[in-house]
Amino acid sequence: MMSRFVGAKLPEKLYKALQEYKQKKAIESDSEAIRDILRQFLLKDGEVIING
Amino acid sequence: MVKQENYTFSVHPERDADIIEIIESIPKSQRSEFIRQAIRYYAGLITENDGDIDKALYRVIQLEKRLAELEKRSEERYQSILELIQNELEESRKERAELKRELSILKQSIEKAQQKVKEEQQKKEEEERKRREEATKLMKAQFEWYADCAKYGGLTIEQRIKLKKDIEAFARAHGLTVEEVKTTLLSIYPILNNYLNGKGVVGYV
Repeated sequence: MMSRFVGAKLPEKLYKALQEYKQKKAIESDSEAIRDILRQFLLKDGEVIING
Repeated sequence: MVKQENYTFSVHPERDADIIEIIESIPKSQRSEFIRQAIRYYAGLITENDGDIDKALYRVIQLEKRLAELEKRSEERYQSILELIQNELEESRKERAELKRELSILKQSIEKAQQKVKEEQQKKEEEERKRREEATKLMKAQFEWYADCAKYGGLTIEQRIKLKKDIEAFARAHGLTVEEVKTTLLSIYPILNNYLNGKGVVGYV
């Protein structure tokens, strides 16, 4: 199945923060880093908050 | 004004279905800001409370979306049940109409058959009545001579024997029983009673 792409405007400061996050977590790509951040941001006690 | 660059990141339809669902539930105009907030939160650029506000806002969006979906599903279910009931009622109506039609045809058929039987019976009775009338007329002519003889002197043995034979022949010829011929004959010529019932024979020998 083909991948999909999501666009986001990031100021330099946030882009750098993203790169630091990548290094800290030893993540290779920007995409993987953003996916990881989104998942963590929306996780609450191991559950995605949309599921309550 | 802070310079911003466009960045794209990839998501896999199956593996990242949770993220896709999250992104798609956020209005397009707010997606970038949402992603930025998520990065800020993990980069320590905002406090935990600020992040919680975003999460709460996101949760509001999600819950509204879920409520709308539930309401839509509920309406669909209601329509579906309504349709089901209407279909059931329509089926029942059709079945009843079909049964009524079948019943009506059967009743008409029975009435027709009964009418036919009745007509045939009437026809048969009419034919029988005519046949008897005809037989009676013929009987009246054929046995008049015997009645006259009985009236004026009585019947001789030969005449009595002949009367018996004539009665039997008449019955055969007209599809009647001997008793029927005798009964009819007596109703026309009561004077023959003694001869037909075997009485009064002695006096004429």
